[in-house]
Amino acid sequence: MHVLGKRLAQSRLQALVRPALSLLLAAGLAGSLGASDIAERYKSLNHQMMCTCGCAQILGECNHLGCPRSTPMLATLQTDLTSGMDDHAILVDFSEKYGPTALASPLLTRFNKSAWIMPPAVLILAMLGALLVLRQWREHGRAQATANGAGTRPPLTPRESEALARIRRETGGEL
Amino acid sequence: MMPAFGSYALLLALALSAYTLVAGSIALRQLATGRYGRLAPERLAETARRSGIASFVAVAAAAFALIWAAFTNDFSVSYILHHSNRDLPGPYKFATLWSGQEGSLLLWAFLLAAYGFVLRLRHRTDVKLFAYASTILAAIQLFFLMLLNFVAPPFALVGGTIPADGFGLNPLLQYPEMVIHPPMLYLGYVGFSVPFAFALGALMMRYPGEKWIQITRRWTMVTWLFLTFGIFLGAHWAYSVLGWGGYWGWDPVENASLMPWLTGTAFLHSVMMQEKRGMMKKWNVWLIFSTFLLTLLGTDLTRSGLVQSVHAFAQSSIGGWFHAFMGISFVVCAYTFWRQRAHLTADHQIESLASRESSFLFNNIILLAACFTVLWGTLFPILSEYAQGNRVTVGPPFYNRVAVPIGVFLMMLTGVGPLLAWRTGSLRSIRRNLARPVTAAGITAVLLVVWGLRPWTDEGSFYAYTVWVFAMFVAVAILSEFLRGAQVLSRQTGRNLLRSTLLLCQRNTRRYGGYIIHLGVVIIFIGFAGSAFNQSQEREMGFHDRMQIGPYTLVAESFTQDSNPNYDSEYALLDVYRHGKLVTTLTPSKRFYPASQQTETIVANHSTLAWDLYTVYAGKNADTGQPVLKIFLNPLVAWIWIGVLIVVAGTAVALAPNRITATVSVEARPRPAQGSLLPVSGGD
Repeated sequence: MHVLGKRLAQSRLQALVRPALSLLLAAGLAGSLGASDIAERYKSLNHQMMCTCGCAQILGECNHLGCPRSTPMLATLQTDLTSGMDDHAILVDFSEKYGPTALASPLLTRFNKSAWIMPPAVLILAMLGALLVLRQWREHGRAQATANGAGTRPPLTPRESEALARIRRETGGEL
Repeated sequence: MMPAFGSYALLLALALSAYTLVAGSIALRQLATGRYGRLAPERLAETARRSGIASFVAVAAAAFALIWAAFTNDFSVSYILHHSNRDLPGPYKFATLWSGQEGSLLLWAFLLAAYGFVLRLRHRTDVKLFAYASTILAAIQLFFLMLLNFVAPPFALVGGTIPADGFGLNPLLQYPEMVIHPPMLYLGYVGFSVPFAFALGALMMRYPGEKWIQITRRWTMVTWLFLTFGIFLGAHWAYSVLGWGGYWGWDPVENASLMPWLTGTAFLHSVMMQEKRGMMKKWNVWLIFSTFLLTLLGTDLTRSGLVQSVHAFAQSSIGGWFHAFMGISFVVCAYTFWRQRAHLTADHQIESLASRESSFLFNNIILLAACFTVLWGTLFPILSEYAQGNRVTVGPPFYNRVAVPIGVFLMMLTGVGPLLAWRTGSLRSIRRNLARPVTAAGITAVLLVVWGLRPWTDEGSFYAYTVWVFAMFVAVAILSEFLRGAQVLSRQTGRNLLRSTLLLCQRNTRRYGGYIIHLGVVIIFIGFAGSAFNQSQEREMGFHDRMQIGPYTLVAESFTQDSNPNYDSEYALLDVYRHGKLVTTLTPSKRFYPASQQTETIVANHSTLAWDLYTVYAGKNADTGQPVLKIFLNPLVAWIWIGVLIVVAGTAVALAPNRITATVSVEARPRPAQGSLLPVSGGD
């Protein structure tokens, strides 16, 4: 019976984990599908860069007419794209030319990796921790109940039975 | 005259707050130890309370003096000289109060004093607990008054010749929403000091039971409402004024307001577990402590220049003071927690994964993970500089990749939580409750693909698709709850479904108000997801030139200029056609403010439920002399503002007292050691 329960729990877990993994895979795929068209890539890349004039705006959204920085930066981006550079090479090129603050998010290099890893790691660890604590509490509760010999539920009083019946009647058996 | 009056008022407020803190602390100490002085502790505590009330009058007088100086163009006051001018319209002269650092600190002190004033007037609710809260508030007030008196005095005078006119208000702040956005945000920021003071006070005095939560519930909710409304007013202001086509740029200062909102929201949820079942006490205490500390961090980020931000209107060296105060606050919180930790033992533990309690727990974890993500992203440039010697930018692409999935996950849990019963729910009932929402989500998923949405093409489409499918799941889950309850009431009372729904809300305002808030949040998310399909075009437009974007055709009718004493403006007159019919005329403009020598963009927007046609007049191209226009077509933005209004309405419902109480009396009897008497469902 215990083994059967374990298998059931495992199959339930698998039923939960498989769709979740599929969803993550789909998200990963969706994220990695790069825009092949130059115009699309231009738009995508200029939204991954910052204007360095001090306006703290995304390069593609800098709305300062005649901005001394965004216009040449956008021209550089266009040149890089037409020269056949890939997205990562362009981002590295911009980081070298205009400094790391020209990129709107950190590249996946040494220390900067932690920027990307920490938030999901914290979430996953917190979730796992909560699940472990919940499991511990449940086992503790069961052990306590067994020790108290409260395996059986005491019978309902007539008034409780009546109230329960009324609730079931009024809610159409939904409670 | 007025500057001197204001300065003395601030000094008096400082003295009164110091007295409230010292006398209040002595009285509470005497009451706790039983060692009384010459004056009975009750009387000493009463003098502290009255002193606290008087401090409100003094701070209000100082705030009045600064506003008076703005309205009377008293440019001998340095703050007024730098933030106002003669031709500034009246409402913006009022807004001068919070347009700079000194004024903002004064606004903070004033609002804190106002909250303290109301708290001290209502002390009869629970004299001892309120005395603790009043003393803690006085300590916070003392810090701000010290800053105002010694570090950033708002009434500092101009040395030498006084200029005939002021340098004007930052043009970005000359917008109607700026007259209400900062006070709303500050009401939220400052307001969290009150539940913090109650929580810390209750812990210090080892308050018996959970009644303090009921006492502070309204304070917390009102504060949360102010912060929520303030954040979205700020988003609307950014959308209308900054002219980049968006409403949220993940700027450090925006993030600073979001962090206490996230922990405050987590607190509002998990405190229900403490109130109802005596659980999560330690967790809740740290949540409210963190919320308070994050409000301080927010002000620090805004004012100290710790991080680079487009919002950091006033940067100075007050950062050190804030760091010290945050450090002291943390030490006090940690010490009190350590001393009184035995008082925070939980009465119960979570019994099942499929229960309302565990949904609250996971909701809390996700909210805190979101808060950590925002904090991490905000502070990472500083860490990066420390670790590798150069600053990096952590902007929207980072948050869109990391925080958005967390937000989507949170939204899904919003739908699952209400479907679970307290303590434990049977798989059968969960399956039954999930049937409708899952079916609706499935149909939506198919319909969206049929309609032409391809979630596999790019990241934006994928997130939008996921959000809309989950939004349908959550909305149907919430509406099913209303329907289920209304059907029961309809059967009981014979009223129609609509009237039964109304009655339902009146009977349990907290529960159904909460559902309305969740529905509002779902609608906000639907609006957010629309941003994946934003379109924009920028081009030079001469007279009668046309531009096509989405279903709209824009025709440049004219470009003209206007002038008033406060600013000169250039604007475009654009006729907007849809299917050949004139829909509206838009007039985006650009203003130049001579006093501050700054320009400002005024966006013109035609908003519908489907999309916003958002137009920006960028000025004239210096080479060609042609006007340049930037046009955006932003889908579903109106849903965000509608969602916010629903959140506000839901909070108002949740704040209202239950008008009719449904009672089922069952004879009390000894509780068995395990197992529930009756399956419990409902509640909040």
